[in-house]
Amino acid sequence: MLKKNILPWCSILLVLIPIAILRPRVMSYAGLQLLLNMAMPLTLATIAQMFAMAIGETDFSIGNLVGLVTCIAGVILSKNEFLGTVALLSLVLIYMFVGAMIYLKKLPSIIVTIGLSFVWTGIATTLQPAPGGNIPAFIVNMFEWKTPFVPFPIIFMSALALIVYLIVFRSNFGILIRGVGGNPKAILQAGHSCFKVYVFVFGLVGLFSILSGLALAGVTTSADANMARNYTLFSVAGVVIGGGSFSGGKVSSLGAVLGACTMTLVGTLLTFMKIRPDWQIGAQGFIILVVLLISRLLKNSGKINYV
Amino acid sequence: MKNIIELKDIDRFFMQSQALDKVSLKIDEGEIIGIVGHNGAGKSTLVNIITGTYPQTSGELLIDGETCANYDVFEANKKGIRTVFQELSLCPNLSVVENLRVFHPTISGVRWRARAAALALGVLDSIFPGHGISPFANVGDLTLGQRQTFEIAKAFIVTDAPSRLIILDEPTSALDPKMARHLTDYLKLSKDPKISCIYISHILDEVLTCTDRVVVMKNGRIVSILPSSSADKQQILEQMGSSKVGAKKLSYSRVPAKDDSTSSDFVVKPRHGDEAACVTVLRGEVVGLAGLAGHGQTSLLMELYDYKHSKNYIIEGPATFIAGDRTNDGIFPVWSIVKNMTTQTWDKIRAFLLINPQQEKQVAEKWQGIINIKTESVENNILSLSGGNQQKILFARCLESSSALVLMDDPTRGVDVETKDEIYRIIIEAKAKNRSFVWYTTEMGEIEYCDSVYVFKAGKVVAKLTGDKITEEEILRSSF
Repeated sequence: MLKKNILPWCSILLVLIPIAILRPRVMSYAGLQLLLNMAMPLTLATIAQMFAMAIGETDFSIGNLVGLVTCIAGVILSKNEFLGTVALLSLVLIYMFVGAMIYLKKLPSIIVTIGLSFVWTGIATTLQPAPGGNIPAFIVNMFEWKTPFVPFPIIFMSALALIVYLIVFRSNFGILIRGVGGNPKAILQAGHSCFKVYVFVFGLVGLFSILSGLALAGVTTSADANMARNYTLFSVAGVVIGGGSFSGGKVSSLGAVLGACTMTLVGTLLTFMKIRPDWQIGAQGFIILVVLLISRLLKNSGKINYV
Repeated sequence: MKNIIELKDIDRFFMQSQALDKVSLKIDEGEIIGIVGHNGAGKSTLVNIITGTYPQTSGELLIDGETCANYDVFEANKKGIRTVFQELSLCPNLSVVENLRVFHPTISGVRWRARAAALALGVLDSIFPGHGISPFANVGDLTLGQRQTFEIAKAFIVTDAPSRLIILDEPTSALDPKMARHLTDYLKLSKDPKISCIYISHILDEVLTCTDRVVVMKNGRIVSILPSSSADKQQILEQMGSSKVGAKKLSYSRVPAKDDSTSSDFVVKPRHGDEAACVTVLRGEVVGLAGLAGHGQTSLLMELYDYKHSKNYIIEGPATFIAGDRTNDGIFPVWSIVKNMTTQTWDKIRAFLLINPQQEKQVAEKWQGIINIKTESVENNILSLSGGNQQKILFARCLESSSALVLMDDPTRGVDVETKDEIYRIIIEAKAKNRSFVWYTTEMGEIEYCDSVYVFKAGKVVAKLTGDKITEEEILRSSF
């Protein structure tokens, strides 16, 4: 487990060590809690992306969906819990339907989800035209939990990595998910239904995006259609830093969690380095490229054996 | 004896073309049936109907004497019909035990991995002693031969699901001769007597040694069904309708062995006097790489191909490469025949910066004649051709290029006898024009066409054979 995830561990240390040097006080209970609070929603979104990438697809609407969920939480869920829950569950059903269409009609998932992303942001801005909203207290309280000894975000993300690991690597269904990503023909020949896998996986993508949106609403206590726009690409980068690949079948749950943390910490590091906000996005991109390049170089330095 | 499957007057059409024509066949319990025939004779279609991949156009399929309504892959699985596919059907990113679980969902519960591993090793050890597969390794990390052995073993693994008829479609195409013999021995001697098999192979000797009856197919029809013990190879070849029966060996004279130390006409020569890396290739020479599969032949080809960075050899590059695994490494599946043929020769068909379609087509049509491709138009998609013809296109692609050195990685894998002969002819003709070849082959018959043969074992050259010493016995002696 540790050996397999050596690259994501290196990536996170690459950003965590400078942070610790610049601001030693961050390495305390309260410091880590603050530092990693924002990593929780991104981790959930990255896990959602990981499921999509496990079967060789990519979801480019995750960020917009997360924004929509914060709006549903702030506008509908706070007034009518039943209606809010129905709205969120119907999003999962829509995702399952989209998964079915992508499989049956052989549509490219990138295009379908880019299309969807406009729909999500459209609905979200109708619900909540300007940032604001009233996030239900139970969601906010959940993410302000003071756990003993270890800060909540660390416990949360460890538990998440473990649960997802069990789903993807230990369950029968996880084998099928990775199998579809590796060689869908083989799965069909063995008498399984790729259709069901697609529907279920896209259901999981929707579910984890919704959890991400609720977490984001809880952490920021606000609803904003555009708050999570960069989640889409951050989640893809997080999966790739975590050792996943675009071609499908190759994913790591702990890697994805660490990748998401790396993505969050990069932003913090830049703030600590007193980089002006208008330079931050560019610098963030640059750091991600460097991290990816280093991890690739490490990976390729091993001797390649031809059969 | 009880028959488990019966085909009655099966017809199958694809659009207007008839792939199967009134095929009738009975398979008894425990019987091993060989099916032989050229590419396009209808073997694959027949298999696909038995496995339920697609239905017959007309005719009846009876299992245990009963007609099956809504017969499909799932139904076939339930009835215990299993297939070992020619194109490997494993997930490379999953481990051996996980792949097993995909096929046998009943292996479940606590410690299923350990039980799956025991099952897999049990069957692998009994069919292929010395296979060297770890059940927890990722399939993608196994050699091609190992993957094939696991693929075969998987079909013989019995769990709750019945296993009654196993279809082996070119099972030995990626196996070295030793493993292939293990398989035929297993089928003949120690197979479960209740399991029936269908054995499809281009290697006639193999079919004759391990089957009970041989079905000869031609143009979608069963020409004859012969008992294997008394069937004669010549007779089968005649019935398959090979155009050249009898004097099959192409006339071929070896280049007289030159003294390496004096000749200056090297295409490949060793950089150091290292014994393990001592391969030399002269201009116009065909050099064979033999030995058991996966013993370093492909790595040598890769090293020669990467001529600028080769540590052990001085090579007159660039070399051109013909892959045996054409689906993955050879063809561009969405391109036309023309485009596939001219990818290495853009300098010849270019007008300034753009490709000239007329010249491109001229090149393609020139080769269409030389290598004998039957197609209405060279603009058709490459996949409209049979596997053997696709392979010939890859030859045309490489021979049209100006490279002095052609590297071949088992280029006749899964190709029918007639196409093989054409490929040999193409090689001989190109050789006469001073082209050099390095040829990794898993088929003993092909060493006939080599001027010198290097036998590999555990990544090293263990023997160099030239002239009359190039014989099957010599190679086997060096490899074992």
